[in-house]
Amino acid sequence: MVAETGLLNAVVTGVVTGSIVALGATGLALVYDIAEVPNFAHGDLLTLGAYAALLVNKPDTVPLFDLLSTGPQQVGVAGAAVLFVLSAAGVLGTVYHLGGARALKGSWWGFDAPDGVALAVHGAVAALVGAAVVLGAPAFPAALLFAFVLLGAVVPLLESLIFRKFREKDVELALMLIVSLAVAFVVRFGIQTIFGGQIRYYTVETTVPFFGGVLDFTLAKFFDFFLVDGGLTLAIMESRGDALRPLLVMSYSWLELLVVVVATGAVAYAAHRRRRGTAGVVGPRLAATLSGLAVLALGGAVLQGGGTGVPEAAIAATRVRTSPLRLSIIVLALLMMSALHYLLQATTLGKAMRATSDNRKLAMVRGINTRQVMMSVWIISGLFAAIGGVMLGFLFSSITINLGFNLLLAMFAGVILGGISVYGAILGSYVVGLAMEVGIFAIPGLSATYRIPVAFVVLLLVLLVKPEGIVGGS
Amino acid sequence: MSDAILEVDGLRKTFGGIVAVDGATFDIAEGSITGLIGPNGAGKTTTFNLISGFYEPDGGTVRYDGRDLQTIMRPHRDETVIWGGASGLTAGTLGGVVGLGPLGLGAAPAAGATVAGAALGAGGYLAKQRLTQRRPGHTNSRPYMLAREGLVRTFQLTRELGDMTALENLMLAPQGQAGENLANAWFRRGAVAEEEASVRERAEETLELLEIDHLRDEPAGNLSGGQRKLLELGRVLMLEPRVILLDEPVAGVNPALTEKLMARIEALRADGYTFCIVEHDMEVIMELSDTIIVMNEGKKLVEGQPDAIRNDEAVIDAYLGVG
Amino acid sequence: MAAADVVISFMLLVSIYGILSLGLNVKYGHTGLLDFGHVGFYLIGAYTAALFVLGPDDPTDFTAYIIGLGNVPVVGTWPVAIAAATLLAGVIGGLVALPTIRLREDYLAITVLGVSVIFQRVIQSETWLANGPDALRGYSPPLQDLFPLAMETLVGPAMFGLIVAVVWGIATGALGRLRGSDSRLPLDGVYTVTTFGLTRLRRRTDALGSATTVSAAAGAVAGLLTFALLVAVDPLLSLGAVVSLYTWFVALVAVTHHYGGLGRREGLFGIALGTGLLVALLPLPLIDSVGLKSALALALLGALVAAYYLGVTRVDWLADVKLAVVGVGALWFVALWYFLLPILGPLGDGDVGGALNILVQNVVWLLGFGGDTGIGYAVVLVGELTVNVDYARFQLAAFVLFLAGLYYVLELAVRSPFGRVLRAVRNDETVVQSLGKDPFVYKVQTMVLGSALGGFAGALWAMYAQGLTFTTFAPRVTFITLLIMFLGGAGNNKGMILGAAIFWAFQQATTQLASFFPPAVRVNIQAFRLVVVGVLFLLVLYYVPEGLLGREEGTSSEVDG
Repeated sequence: MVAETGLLNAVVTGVVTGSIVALGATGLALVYDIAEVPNFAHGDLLTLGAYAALLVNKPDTVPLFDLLSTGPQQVGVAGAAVLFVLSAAGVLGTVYHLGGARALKGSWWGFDAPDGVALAVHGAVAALVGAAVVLGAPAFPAALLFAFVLLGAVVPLLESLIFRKFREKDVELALMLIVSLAVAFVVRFGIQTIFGGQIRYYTVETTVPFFGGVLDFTLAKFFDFFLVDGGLTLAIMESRGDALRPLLVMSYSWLELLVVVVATGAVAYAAHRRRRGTAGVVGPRLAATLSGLAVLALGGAVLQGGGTGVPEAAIAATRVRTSPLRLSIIVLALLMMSALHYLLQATTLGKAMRATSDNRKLAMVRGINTRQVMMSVWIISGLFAAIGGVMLGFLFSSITINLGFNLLLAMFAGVILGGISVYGAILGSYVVGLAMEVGIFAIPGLSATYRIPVAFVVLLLVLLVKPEGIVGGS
Repeated sequence: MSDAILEVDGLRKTFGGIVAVDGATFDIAEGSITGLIGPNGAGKTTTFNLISGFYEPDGGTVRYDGRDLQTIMRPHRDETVIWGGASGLTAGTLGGVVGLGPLGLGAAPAAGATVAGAALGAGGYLAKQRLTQRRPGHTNSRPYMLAREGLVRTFQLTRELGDMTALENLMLAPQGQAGENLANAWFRRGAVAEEEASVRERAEETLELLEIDHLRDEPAGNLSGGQRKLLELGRVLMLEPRVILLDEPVAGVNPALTEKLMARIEALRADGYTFCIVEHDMEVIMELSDTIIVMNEGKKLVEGQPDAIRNDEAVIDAYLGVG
Repeated sequence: MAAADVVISFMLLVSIYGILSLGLNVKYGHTGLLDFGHVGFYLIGAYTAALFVLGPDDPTDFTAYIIGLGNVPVVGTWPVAIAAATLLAGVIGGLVALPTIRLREDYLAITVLGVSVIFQRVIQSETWLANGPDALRGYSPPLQDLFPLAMETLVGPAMFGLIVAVVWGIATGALGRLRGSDSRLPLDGVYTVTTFGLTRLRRRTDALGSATTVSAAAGAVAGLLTFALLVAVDPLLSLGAVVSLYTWFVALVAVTHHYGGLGRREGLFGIALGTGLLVALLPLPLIDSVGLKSALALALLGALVAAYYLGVTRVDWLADVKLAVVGVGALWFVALWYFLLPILGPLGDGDVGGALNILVQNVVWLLGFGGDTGIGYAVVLVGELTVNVDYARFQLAAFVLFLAGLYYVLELAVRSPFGRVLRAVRNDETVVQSLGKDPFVYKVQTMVLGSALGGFAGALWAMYAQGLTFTTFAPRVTFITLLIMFLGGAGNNKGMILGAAIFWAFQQATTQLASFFPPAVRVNIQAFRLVVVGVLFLLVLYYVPEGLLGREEGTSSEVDG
């Protein structure tokens, strides 16, 4: 029996889309919430990240920089030096934004350290990152790292050169919106001025050794679920030419399924109870989710009966079509969000950010360095934008100047749905991602160009009922 | 209490767990000047906002001229028709277009889709309206309906229209100006111009009355605090209301002008206007008011003649207790 | 293309974007509604108009659209199409407003931006609706087949009479307003002559006596005279010259009115700025190497900007007139470009006659020159001239008439008590509520009015472009409209026309500059000029947030048009 893609496939795709939206939306929400800039340029920052990675991945196609290139994807010594300097400057620049020369001497560390040590550490990290980029080029991770550190230093410039100036004039929110729109214009067409109008793409070695064989992580894999008389069978298939080859078959009896489900529920509940009242890094809901997922994975691995191949007949069957690349985007997004979560909950800077978000004036009165908070928000926004943009460019394997702008509305929808807070934005982004993919799947005759409109209709409907968003209070 | 124009009964309002007004009950007699006083945080301004329809009460009622405020503020039937019609029009058009286009229906089924869409849209809106009206605790916050009925207010922190001149601030106020209708502004310019001339004349008279006519063409944003208070009073006078709720009308106004303002309020009362005034200046309020209501902690503490209030121990305690 | 033709296509665009910006100005400038989706209504207007004038869809060809009313009598004509476009855009604007208008301003901006993107996506994906991602073509603007005008029949003179009537009427209207300024020019005398004595009407106090009526009547008289003269004798060139010279005169009066107050040294500084700009651009045509000429031109421009910046920050008398000198410089630059540059070539060859010939062509802008058809003249010193009246001139008259008419209608609206309520809504909605007026009703009306204007502009765009693709209607258009609005001054209707003029002047100038670069890098050059636009917008928002003209509002009993 052959499984067809169905709702489950749309849900998985929705989670992937939601992850990318979330990578953009967290930065957008932070800036919106704390710096009070509804940043219409944020989509174009993603684009900027995607193009920045080209400097490492395909230096021979970057205008002007191609003069230093020595062959396809190769740079000479001079080019390597430029990359090294840019990456190291990115690291040091990012730190510099946190408070000028004093930040380089460790003022942002949260504990006292001798100036020399701090300077040395910052210098060493910068050199290390620079070396990693140069040595790793033109591989994808090096390109990603390069875009990451570069945007961390470049994006806060928007705050210190533009938005702060307007904030000091005490302009109204509407004007801030228009300013950010103008910035978007400058960034987008600035990119086009340099790169021209052609469509670009990364050239990446996509096969990795895997269990003795090779795995192309951009090629689609099929996860076929069969509901048979005896229980559930999951077959992971790979397409080679026209033929489908099962990579791994796992089957579970009804009893085993029941055990796993019950155990998951029980562990999650127990974890929730245990952490209730703890307002630390791992709160009750996070603890429940993490432990539940762990049990699910463990149970699935332990109980998998040796599969005998794809079942001939099934009560119901559905296929999820995805690729390791797509799944890795989910993982990457979760990692980034975990890091941000840790930063917000466990560090002094994070606490200052939360206090500023609650009430900026009060935070200033309490002696919180709001300027540092503001800059760190922009830095984080830039870092997330870099990851989001590069992954988006890789996933679509086409980089155009509209890359990020096309996603801007979805990101805004996520942020507004979440009531303009970081955690709300993450939730909102997944709602938007799911709505986009499930909507396209569920409504017949709706072509894929309607992804963004579907997300928007969801936003409109929510705003009609609850004008303050799903998470926000009044 | 047949002559009460405002009857406040058991009014309650909370903000995130903090009770601002807690069962306030009092009447305001038609043609009277009633002073509303109390220590800071007693809930006077919140009461004002509730009476003028700017806040939605969590409990209790306010009756104006014998009618419940919520009844006065209920959406007009025209509005329901417009909204229902608009929803129907949108849904119907979409139905028709989609029927003709992607679904590839013929003309007749497409027309059917249009009609179905229209019915669905209009019906959906009306049903939603019915449901929300019946939901317990539903309120209609449409303060402009109250102003149209002659119940008007000023604001504690003045809200002048800063970009507009003092004269324009006043000319904005009068009810039902023909020129506020775009069609009249285009097609009945003669009538509008005549009306404008008379409104302008009245506005200039009001400015003279309040002795700020020298600020006629000054943008209201450039006025001093006291001048803004006067401007705001002038604005509500332009409305020709029945009841005027004044929130600290003489705060920041110089003594000489305060005198004149008080005389003016007295004179207006003689013409039949009803005033309810929140004011911290005890001398002014004692001299001006017929009745004084003292509020404390969201409730009415005492009510009585100024002389009685002056010597009331509960009042003295309330002020001392907080002050 | 002669410089005059460039200016005519420039003015067509100014008219379209002026109307579009007037619509946004009603929303944001007057009422404070930040509509980031204004382009959506422009789109609706454009496609509605196109579907009204297109013939019925032929199922066998490659294009497909839902309906083509072009063959239906009366309905399928341009006036009906424009009216329908305006109406539909207005209605949809109102429908969009109903659910969204109560939202916070930032939410409103984002949701309406989303709505405009949805409109664009619908056009893109629904191939049955308006040919999907491909261009929608196959219609032509009205009366185009009459042009170039044949003067032998009655139709030709009549059409030219119409054009003259519009141009004359608008020029006279402008002169009527400028008449009060003190100038050494004999304004009153000229005005009496060009109104054919109708200015006596002004003594009347009723509507007939308004300046608008006088200029309209003067235009009508001029048109009739033109018609009669053309039918009786054949003085097309002389007529064109007279009318053109009259417009130049009015333009001169306007310039002296605005900049007459500047002293000599301020004026000279402005002229130096304009000349400097010209010099800074000289490397572009003169040097071949792309890198070298870009670098040199950019360096010179940078030096010019630095000189200006230092001037206005260090020198007191310059600081007071910092915008005025830029205006003078820009006008001087345009004048050099229009009158001087085209004749430099022939003059260099010693061909004085040829130079004069080109000069005449540019001065008598109302007439087209060259081509196969037309009336030939031989003029002393100038040589042979073939004169015709082409379609662009007719379209220009129509568009400018629309712009002037809509400007007038809007001025009536915003200076009435209705406009006063709008301003009050922008200032403080709560006050409006406390005065017994429902802000919601006014905001919806504003959205209807502003969106209808957007639709009108869209219909004109459909007529001008003679083909529509969804890519035209990107959010970029809203951005440009916002720029125009802030440039001219939010809340100032006149500012919209000025803003549109400045923006399109910049666009046209930079388009010409792009032609000095090899085709491969033209995309980059086009993008670069948008960067410059964005930076200029930021500078405007920071340094002159009230715009060049500032707010100019207030209720008045009479509007002069």
